[in-house]
Amino acid sequence: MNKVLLVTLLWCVGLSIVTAQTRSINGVVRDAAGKTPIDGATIKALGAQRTTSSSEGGAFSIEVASAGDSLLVSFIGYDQSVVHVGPDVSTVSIDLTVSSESLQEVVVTGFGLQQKKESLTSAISSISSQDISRSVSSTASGALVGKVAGLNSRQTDGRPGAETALKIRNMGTPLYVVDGVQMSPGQFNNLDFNDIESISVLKDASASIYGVRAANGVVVVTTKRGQRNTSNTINVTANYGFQDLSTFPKPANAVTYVEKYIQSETVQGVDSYRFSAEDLEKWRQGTEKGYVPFDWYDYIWETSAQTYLNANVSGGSENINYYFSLGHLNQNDVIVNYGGFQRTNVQMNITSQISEKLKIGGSFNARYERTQNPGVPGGDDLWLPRFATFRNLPIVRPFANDNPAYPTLTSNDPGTNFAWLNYELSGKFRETWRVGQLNFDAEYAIVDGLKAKALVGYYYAGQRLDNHEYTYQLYGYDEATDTYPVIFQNNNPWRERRMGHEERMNSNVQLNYSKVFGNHNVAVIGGVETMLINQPTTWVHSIPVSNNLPLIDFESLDTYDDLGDRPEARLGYIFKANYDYANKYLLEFMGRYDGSWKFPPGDRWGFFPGGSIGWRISEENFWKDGKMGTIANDFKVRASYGLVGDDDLGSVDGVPIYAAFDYLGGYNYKQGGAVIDGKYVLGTRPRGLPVRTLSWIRAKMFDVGLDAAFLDNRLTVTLDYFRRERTGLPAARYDVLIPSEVGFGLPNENLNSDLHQGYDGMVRWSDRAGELSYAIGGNITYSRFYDWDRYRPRFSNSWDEYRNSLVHRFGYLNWGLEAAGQFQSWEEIQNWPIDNDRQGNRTLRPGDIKYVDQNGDNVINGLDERPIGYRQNETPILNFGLNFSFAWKGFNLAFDLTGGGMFTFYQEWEQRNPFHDGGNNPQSYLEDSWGLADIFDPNSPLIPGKYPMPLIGNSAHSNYWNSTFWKHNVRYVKLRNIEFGYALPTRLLEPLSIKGVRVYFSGQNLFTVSNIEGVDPEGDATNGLGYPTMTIYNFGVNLSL
Amino acid sequence: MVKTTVIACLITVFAGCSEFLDRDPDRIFDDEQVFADPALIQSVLANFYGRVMWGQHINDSYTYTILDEAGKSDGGPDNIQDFSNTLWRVYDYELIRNINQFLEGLRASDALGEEDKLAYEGEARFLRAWVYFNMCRGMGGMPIVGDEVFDYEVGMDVTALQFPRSTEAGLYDYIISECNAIAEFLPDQPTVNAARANRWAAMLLKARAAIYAASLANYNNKMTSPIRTPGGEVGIPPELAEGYYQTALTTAEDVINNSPYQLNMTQPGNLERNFYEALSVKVSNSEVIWARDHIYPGAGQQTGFTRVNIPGSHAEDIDRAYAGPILNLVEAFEYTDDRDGTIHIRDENGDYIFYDHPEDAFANKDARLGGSVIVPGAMFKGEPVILQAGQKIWNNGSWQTRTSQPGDEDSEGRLITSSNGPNNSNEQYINKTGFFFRKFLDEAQGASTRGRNSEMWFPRLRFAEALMIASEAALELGQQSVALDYLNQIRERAGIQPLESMTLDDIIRERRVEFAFEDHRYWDLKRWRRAHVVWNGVQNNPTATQYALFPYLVVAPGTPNDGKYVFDRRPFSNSPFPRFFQLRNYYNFIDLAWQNANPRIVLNPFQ
Repeated sequence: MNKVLLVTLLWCVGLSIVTAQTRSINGVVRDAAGKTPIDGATIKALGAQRTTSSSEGGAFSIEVASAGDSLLVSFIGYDQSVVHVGPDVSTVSIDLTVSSESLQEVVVTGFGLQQKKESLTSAISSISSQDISRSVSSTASGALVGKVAGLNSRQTDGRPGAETALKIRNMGTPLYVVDGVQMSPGQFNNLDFNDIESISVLKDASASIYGVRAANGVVVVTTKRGQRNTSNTINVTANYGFQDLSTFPKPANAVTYVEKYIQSETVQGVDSYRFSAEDLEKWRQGTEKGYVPFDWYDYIWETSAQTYLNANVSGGSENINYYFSLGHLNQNDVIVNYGGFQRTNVQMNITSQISEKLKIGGSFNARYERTQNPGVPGGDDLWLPRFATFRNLPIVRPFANDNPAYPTLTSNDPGTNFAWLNYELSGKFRETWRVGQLNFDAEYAIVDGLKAKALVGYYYAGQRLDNHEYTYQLYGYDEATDTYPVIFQNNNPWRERRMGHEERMNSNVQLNYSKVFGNHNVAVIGGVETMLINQPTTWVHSIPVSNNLPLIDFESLDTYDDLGDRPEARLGYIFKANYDYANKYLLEFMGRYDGSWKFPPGDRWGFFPGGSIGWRISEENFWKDGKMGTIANDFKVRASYGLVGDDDLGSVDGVPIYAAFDYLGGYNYKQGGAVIDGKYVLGTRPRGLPVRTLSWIRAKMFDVGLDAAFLDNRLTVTLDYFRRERTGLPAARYDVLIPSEVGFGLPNENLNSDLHQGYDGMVRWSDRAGELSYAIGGNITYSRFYDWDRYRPRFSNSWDEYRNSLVHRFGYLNWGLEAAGQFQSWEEIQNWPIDNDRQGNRTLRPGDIKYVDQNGDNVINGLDERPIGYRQNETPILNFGLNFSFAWKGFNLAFDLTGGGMFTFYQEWEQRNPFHDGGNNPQSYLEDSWGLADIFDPNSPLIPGKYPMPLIGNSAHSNYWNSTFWKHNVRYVKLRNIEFGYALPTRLLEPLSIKGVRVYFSGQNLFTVSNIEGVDPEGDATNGLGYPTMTIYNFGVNLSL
Repeated sequence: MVKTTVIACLITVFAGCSEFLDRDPDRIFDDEQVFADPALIQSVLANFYGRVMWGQHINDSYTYTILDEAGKSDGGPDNIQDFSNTLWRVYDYELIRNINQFLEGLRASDALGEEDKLAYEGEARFLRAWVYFNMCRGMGGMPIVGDEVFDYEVGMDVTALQFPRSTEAGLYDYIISECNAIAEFLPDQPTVNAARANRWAAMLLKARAAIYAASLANYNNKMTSPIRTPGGEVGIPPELAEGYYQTALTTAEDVINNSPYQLNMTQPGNLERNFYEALSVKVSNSEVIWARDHIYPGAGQQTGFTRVNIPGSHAEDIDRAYAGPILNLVEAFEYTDDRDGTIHIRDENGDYIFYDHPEDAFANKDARLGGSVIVPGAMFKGEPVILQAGQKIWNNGSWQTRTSQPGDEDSEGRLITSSNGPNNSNEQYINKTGFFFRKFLDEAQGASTRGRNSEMWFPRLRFAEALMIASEAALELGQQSVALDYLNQIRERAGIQPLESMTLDDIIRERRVEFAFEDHRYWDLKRWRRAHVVWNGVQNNPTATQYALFPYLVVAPGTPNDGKYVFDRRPFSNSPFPRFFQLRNYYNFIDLAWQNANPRIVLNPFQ
């Protein structure tokens, strides 16, 4: 309904455009290299505001403004071209060149500054709207995966609205800057990425212009703006998609489960079997009442919808340009009866040239986000369905007597019966965010070359979280009386509400000077930036008197938690200067003097300088005139070095190492407390020593790289080596012998350091063969983390040093035993010289895991552990993407393969422990384990399998020790995005006054190849029950009016 | 004109912004603000009261499964065997420093009258003595740092801050003298729900410190090789024993004779209920002297003990049956007329004894059993707690065991395995010992829900302890009749026969059943140097291995025993290894980092 209204509105805007005097001209469009005609190219007359397309032979005819006009010609796979037609021209021939990473492309370098790619001396990757939009991800981070060199990514959770962890060169959470305003990752992620014009990733010292928060690199986002002197264009995009679990382990079926359970009891010699041979036979038949298996996986998971709609209008007159956009995303859970994530985005950007010298603009970016699902027990409402898939056995059914009015107790944990996890029985959780960012900017040209710019921004994000978990009953069935007695009653109604907002005020004022003096190009900028954040939040909890009552009353309230304003303030002065000589020798300096409220007055300010140099060898005459010039039309080497800061000093178990105001002594109110005199008295705790010895972390970033283009830009290459050393990581001088009995620890100082080192690069080939234009590209990011200097490390012996040293070593080494196959027979165990289980091998059976006795002492213990893996819960060390695009006439096909490696997954809990806590294991696990030929006869022959024989309650056995058997170094490739589309020929649409129609199919994660079984390779839940990434099949249409 | 304005604006912006970075914290006070406001002074004290929970306690049910009192029922077996070198180690000099900061501020404060200041000082010093006591019973003598508040400047001479460890005797002496010093400052009337320390809390702590010191001086030196360090940081000379026993006796008698407390006797007609109320009901309680109180609402001011340990049949939320008492403890309770507490499950021929009701097997037991443990068939909140492992089926002259999924019935509609358990499995939320806790299990509506939790308190000092200390001290001082008099007061309340003579073994057993789950047994067995004997690590040693008791319904149609109940005694499947207390466990290890930072700290024996 709203959508209809919107389209109508946009129409009205479109119709109000005025037309001028016109005349007709003819022309032809050709490929610049082969001089072959191009059929289907779009030609726009900018003045007359007409559009047409070339027919066979490349010919076209169009109305242009009589007084002279400009033609904008575009075709997929080629660079756009603008051709001026004078008043007396009647025919025109236009040659298009095959597009590549064009050297004339403009790259945003931060702080509202732009630079041509050819003169860039820093490691900055950029990506444009066209490449971003080739994704059906619900978040902006998801749309970036695999498309940019220098980004490491991992999506550990695929729930609706979930973001993908992005790390620039694995360096930690980057700073996000959207239209000049510093933002958090969540704010970036929830932009409608179709409103993004371009993204620049500042990977090296170029980030130092953002100062004390830029140590992990910066992602700079620019949203779309209309073009001046262009006709009004309305764009409507509609998508409908089906999502499904990309990978999720399947629980064992009833027969497998019962068989393995019986086998375990046989081997363990129980006096009474839980399942008899008759029982097993009945489960095999699966028809008798009480013996009908149940497929919990099928009951809980489903295919669900994802829809997206966006309409935008853009254009501009002589003095005003504008872009308005409205988008709506709806992504459902793939859990039956669950809700999902919805988001509505609005973007409005207007710029107006008030006078020759003054330009004023405003932008408004707003959104409404809503996450909703049943209000089920536990902190994460999406956990119980995942857990239920494995905790409920395939031999229990969700309803008493199969009567859907009576959910029953299906496991020892009443919460796991999925039958009551729905809005009617368990309540509702809803979280909404209402966000608005308002920016006002002005630019004033003071004298030639000198400009003043100002930006003021106000951001408001309001959160409201409402959760109501009902009381509920579970029922049994009494056959004799045909009644359903209550067998479990939950009397814990839970009602909570979180209300809060975050408010950010930004200002940014700068002076720019740029001038060309012959061959000398100079650009200088100075500026100041301020940022103030307040984030007051309250949380209340009540025990409501009725499930039907959504209101919270004082009488039922038991907690009111006021988190306070939690203010943050930062202020920085910026300087940057660029110089180049003849566009050949490039030089850049920048610096920022930055202050953070976190540190004590008088110790707040830091200076963060950076610089870079470049040499465009291809501009030298010897190169241009020599043979090299014919092969490599562009060749640039560059290097950068700079100092950046980080006022976030890290945290241990969620507690910051240095919190704001830690420089103050005194007392903390509302910490601890006790019941005295029959009342709860809130505690006030002495704060301990004020910390005045700690300041921000310093990151020294070094980068050296080259940019090159070969064969008329058909082949482009960028390569970078980088090294970031962070000094000033917090540590205490433990060699100062301050006794712990004084009651305080030695304060932390900036003592330790760490290092990231690696390379990233991209290569791209784009060309045209006949009417087929295509581009193939790849990018790779390898970034390795090292612990570097420690403050005077001490070790008690060489083993201690080997095991525990962190000096100049790979970080987060993952230690464990090395598994060396399985015992194949009883004889082998009897004769095995090594004590493999520290019980004299008494507990071993054929199929059990053998370990390598690394130190040769004939016993397996902690001393045999070796580094066997990489970091577990972070982005991979290695990420890569392969990007393909093909266009032929109106068809286009594009897809991205993305992958990662050098990270570790540890298979535990449901994925490892037999019959974990009375629940189920994956089918693939149980059926491929060692077993008995006759499960009732412990002496029957053994049947080998991949896993040791699953025995009940055996999870402490040596089989389940931390080893390479369960710890996997993951490698994977995913077909992350694919899009196949067809654009209807313009000549069919012209009579309908439609500029373009394109239909397409797009997909995400359509296949995954990895070396781990049954679970999503990006997941990090060791029980394998993380919410996996989605496979999405999507159909869409794009309409331009 | 515009040009000038723009430039003027720019200059303003670029210039002074230094105050922009000054922001106010939301909840930080400086010292002056705190000590000018009586409400904040009390708030600081409340913080200290909230920080002194150590050892075994109801906020950590796991601590009950380590010894021989309870077993973990949640999930698969544990591997508990050895005791950790840092088990229940307390080393909280940060709290001592905080208390000293508080004392310094308090003494300088003029927001309170002299009397109130002294009362606050008394409470703060009581808590400080309590911290030292908890350190001392784990590690022996530790540095006594006095009242000074230490500070640190980079580059200062730190050797002045290096305190040596006190002797073990010296630290107990310090605790005793502190208790003496503050006795006059503290009120002598009971406080609300015993949440604040009064004179009698100080006196009972003093008596406890004295009896600990006395028994260490006595029994440590009776070992073949006493545990001690050359400097006396560990080990108290034997000649000090008598003096400590005397102090313990007179102090305990002071509490017995002069305090307003007595053994709780709210339900003289039902001694089981009476004992439950003595520990688990705050209203009209005449026995508890000092406790950690809990209340709803209040952030973190409740205990989850009831929620995690309630029988499944009575659960109000998802959690239940984390742990349950084991048979070892149940059999330590005597019968009213038989000191052998073994549950009668087989007759002299080795055949089953058949009971009409499962609870009949526990008839005539010490009333404290029913007040501390829910036995199979016992009532909780007016409903029976069914514990049934399965059925015993009489089949051609032998018994067959039949078990099922918890809660399943046979074709005749008779229960097989109760939904409560017990069973042998790795399932969560199913009992595996055959018993549930009753002591500290809250009967209030909603006490087992996650949204509310329980207001159950945790008593730390109570009148019965004064009687037990007096009895033990009198016994060791050779005053047998005095000792018997005190001990029999305890036994009388439990409804069991009085003793006519006694030895230390009677004290040991009485304390075990009287103070079950109250954080005494571990420390008691240590100070008597019995722990390594009781928990000797030998498989199948009845005191080191944990046992469970499984009730079964008899299915023998046509026989008189059909429908009756029998019991199997079995090693507790969820903790298969015997407890192994080694000599090194008598004292916690000293952390090497403390020694690194203070070279004057000597290490403990066996370290």
